[in-house]
Amino acid sequence: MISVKNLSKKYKKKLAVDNLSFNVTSGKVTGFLGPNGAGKSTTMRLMLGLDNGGGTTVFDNKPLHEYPEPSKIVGILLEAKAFHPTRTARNHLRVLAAAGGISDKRVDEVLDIVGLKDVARSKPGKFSLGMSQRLGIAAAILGEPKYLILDEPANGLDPEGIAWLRQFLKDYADKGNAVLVSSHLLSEMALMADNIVVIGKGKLISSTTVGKLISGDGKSNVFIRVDGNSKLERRLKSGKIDFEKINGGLMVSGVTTDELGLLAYDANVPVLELQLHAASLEDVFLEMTAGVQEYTAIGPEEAKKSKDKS
Amino acid sequence: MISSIKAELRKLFTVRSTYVIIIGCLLIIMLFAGYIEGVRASAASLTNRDLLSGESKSAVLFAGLILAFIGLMQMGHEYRYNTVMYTLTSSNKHLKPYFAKVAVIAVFSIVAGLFMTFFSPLCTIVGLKIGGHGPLIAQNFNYFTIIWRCVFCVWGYAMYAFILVAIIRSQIGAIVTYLLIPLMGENILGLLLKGNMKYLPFASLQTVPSPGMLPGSSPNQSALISSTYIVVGLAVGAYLFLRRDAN
Repeated sequence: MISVKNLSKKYKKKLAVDNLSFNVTSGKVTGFLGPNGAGKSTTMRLMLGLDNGGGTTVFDNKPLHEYPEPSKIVGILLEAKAFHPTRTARNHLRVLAAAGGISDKRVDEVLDIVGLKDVARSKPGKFSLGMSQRLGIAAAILGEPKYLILDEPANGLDPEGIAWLRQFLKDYADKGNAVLVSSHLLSEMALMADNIVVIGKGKLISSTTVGKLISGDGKSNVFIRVDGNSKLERRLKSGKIDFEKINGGLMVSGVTTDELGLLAYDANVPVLELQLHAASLEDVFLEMTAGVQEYTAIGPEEAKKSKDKS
Repeated sequence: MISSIKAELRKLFTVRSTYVIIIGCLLIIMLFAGYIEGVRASAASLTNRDLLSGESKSAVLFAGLILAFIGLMQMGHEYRYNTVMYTLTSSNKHLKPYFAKVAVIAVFSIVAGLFMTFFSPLCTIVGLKIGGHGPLIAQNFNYFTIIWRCVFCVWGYAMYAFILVAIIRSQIGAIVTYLLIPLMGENILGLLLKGNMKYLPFASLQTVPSPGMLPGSSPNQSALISSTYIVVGLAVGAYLFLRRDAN
């Protein structure tokens, strides 16, 4: 497990990371979310000791610098294009392998895993963003580390690449490894991650499982269509349960499907349709980070008003 | 430390710039020592007892200045291409890759300096043969003195270049500074310092192989002054490497 404790980082007067603590559990993929400028990349750099700041990060109760070969403990991808453009992909990885005490044989293995075997001897300066990401992932897994810290690894990947990455990270975590991955592709994160850490303006907003995050306290909206709405409406009103009439049925708030099904049964109302309307990760994320957006765009109407004013 | 050194060696020999700079230096030496001082040698050159030792000194003074770009790029590329994050996270102590770089650049520059010291007079001898000139007069070539002074100069250039990029952390900025200091900065300062110019970093380094360049300087004293700059510079670079964010 990675334990992040009280991380903080100040740039002049701006607090980029503010007393941030969370855990990244082994055997799980943990999504790291936050609006632009929330401090995700800075947090990752602080965790790795690349930036100077307050707080500690321990990997299985030991800071990274206490491991003799850190490459075999944590694999990183913080920037897709972090390579010398004229050093071949294979040589780039050979350099990292030498630094981490890893055999050259593993270099060929990881190139095969990420699908870059055919361009192993090509200069990565001409690689697309997706290919660069694959090379970055190859670098991250080179030492078969127990922990992966990946910053936006899905950027630039094609749909096949994203699907591959999702499965790869899930499989990697299933082997008992911990994966921390940041992404702006929230739908992808919902499929990929088991746990989610949300930060805003450098502070922790939430650290929980994807399921709990989406369902809040576990009670989402449930749509029900019954034969005899009025009977059920009376029952809901007497139970002080919020609902709204919609599409010939009722959208009921704050209940589970089980609870509503039983309620309809008690009211002796035949159920024709019962459907959970869970919020998407995007809905929850936008709601959570509404007050902590560092940079917000304005719509065309507001832009026009602003232009007229000036 | 061994892993870091191995990685630095791989970095050095897997980039095009290393070979471009080496070839550039060899071509410059071949042009000046081989063609100008050899093929097109004047009659006076043939009677100069210090011709070959002079060629060694000229080679390291000029080609050594260019060869030092290899040392500069060894660190400069880390910041330019952001590979410094890999370098730092693959080692349990940040100073390991720093000193691994210093060691690799030092060894490389010493070997290159040694090669230049002999390649340059060799080019002159071959050039004289090609140019059909008569035999050279017996030469003064004190191997020990020439080798240590020339090798020291090439090593010193490489260390200066490395220190500048370690402090500035911008490849372009370091290249500009590295060229401006010896070519302009120290010459302007020299006008003010006059006899004390020998205490400037590049001036002191250049007077190691050629003490005659500045009156009152001796190779040993100049080497000591340069070494002091290098030790202090490396220490400052190491401190900043630790204290500052990775990039």
